[in-house]
Amino acid sequence: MTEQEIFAVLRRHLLDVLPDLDEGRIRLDRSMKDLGANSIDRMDVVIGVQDELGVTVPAAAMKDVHDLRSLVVALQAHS
Amino acid sequence: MTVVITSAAVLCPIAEDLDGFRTALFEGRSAVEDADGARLAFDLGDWASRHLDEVTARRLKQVAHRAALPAQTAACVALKAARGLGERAGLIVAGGQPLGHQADTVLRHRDKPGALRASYALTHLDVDVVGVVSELTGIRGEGWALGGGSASGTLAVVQAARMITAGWLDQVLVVAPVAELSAAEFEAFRRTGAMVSPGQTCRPFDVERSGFVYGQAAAAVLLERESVARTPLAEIAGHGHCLDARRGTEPDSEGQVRAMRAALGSLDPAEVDYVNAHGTGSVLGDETEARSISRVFGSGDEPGTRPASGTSDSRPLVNSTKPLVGHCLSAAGLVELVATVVQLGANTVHPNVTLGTPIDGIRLAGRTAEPHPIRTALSNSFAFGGINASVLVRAA
Repeated sequence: MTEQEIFAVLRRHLLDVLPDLDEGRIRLDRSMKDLGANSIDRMDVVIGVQDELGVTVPAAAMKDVHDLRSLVVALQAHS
Repeated sequence: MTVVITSAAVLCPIAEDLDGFRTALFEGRSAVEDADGARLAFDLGDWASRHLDEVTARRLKQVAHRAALPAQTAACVALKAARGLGERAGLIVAGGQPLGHQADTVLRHRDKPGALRASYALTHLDVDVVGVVSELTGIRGEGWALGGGSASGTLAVVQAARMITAGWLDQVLVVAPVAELSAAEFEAFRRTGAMVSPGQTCRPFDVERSGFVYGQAAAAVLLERESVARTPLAEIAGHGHCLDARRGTEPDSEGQVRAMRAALGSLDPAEVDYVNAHGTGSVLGDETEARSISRVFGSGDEPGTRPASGTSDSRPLVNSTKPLVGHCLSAAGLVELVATVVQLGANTVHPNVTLGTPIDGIRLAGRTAEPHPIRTALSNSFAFGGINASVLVRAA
């Protein structure tokens, strides 16, 4: 699965959790926190994306995630 | 100290606001179509676009869009009923357990554990309603969810009135979310014999009644200390709450009589013009409540109480709102208190649309709306577990 495909899934889950989010703000260099997601929202997005993609990113690998790009990279590395 | 109701809101299948509810009640419009119950077709975004300005609609969706049905419906009625809240405002939520959401999540979790959302830690709680409503209304005083089964709505009003009377708060928003059931609770109610079987309907106080019909409705009322209230709809004139000290589903007339008499206090029962009965349509429940009402208000058979022809009967008119909205369980008491206040305000009783052959001993509202002067009215709620509650309201 390409980074673009993973990012598309991530974008959809972000919009589901934050329906008011301006789609143009969802860029790879942003973090979910920047976009207004609280800790529960962030967990729900990550769980939802992993579930849809059928991947599980170990907690240790999640420690390096600091923006959407690094999240996509982590998801791709474990798919 | 006097406590008054200053605003009220209802969201149910026959109405989405108080004006609509008033119209639907007096027209005798019923949401009870079959034994499956009076179910709400509800979408938060659609409701918001019909009832709120753009900014408030956006806030509602931000706060509540991923909450369960009880919290979403509570948020809607709370926004409608909340007005002029100050620092000394509190919140009581009647019921609020999202049983359908819980069951769906558990079943999905069994099949697909990886998909469980972290936010279920919030959404499974009755107090998620407290969080949602307090965020939307800005209430910062005390607040909690109260559990009293089918008496929850009435008990919440009793507690709210007490908190204001005690001087702890000036205002309490009482909110009753839709009482959500999963298929299991629904079927269990049927198996107790309390709920109707397919092909039957809700017929309170009719000789052919066979059980209650489930209803989904949410309601909210704002109670205020009279000195801060601007536009009272009615006064809380008394309340009673007691237990039967007995587990189970069977009603107990002794407890019902005690609750009603406690609500009346020193008032002459002849002063009560109207009783909004618990009146579920269950076989034993209605018979027991009718007996309790006739013990408190007279059966009409005592010497001197049956009116001579041409004079008026001093007994209150007894009615049930459940043929119109169903039995809304934990929300029933609050939905029906609003119905009572609406009837009191209009000096008109809504019809009991399914009444064919009335049972004896009480004076029942008929099948069409009728003018009836109502200055003082009683609203009853009786719950499994032997919980009895009654609230007396008086024209403001």
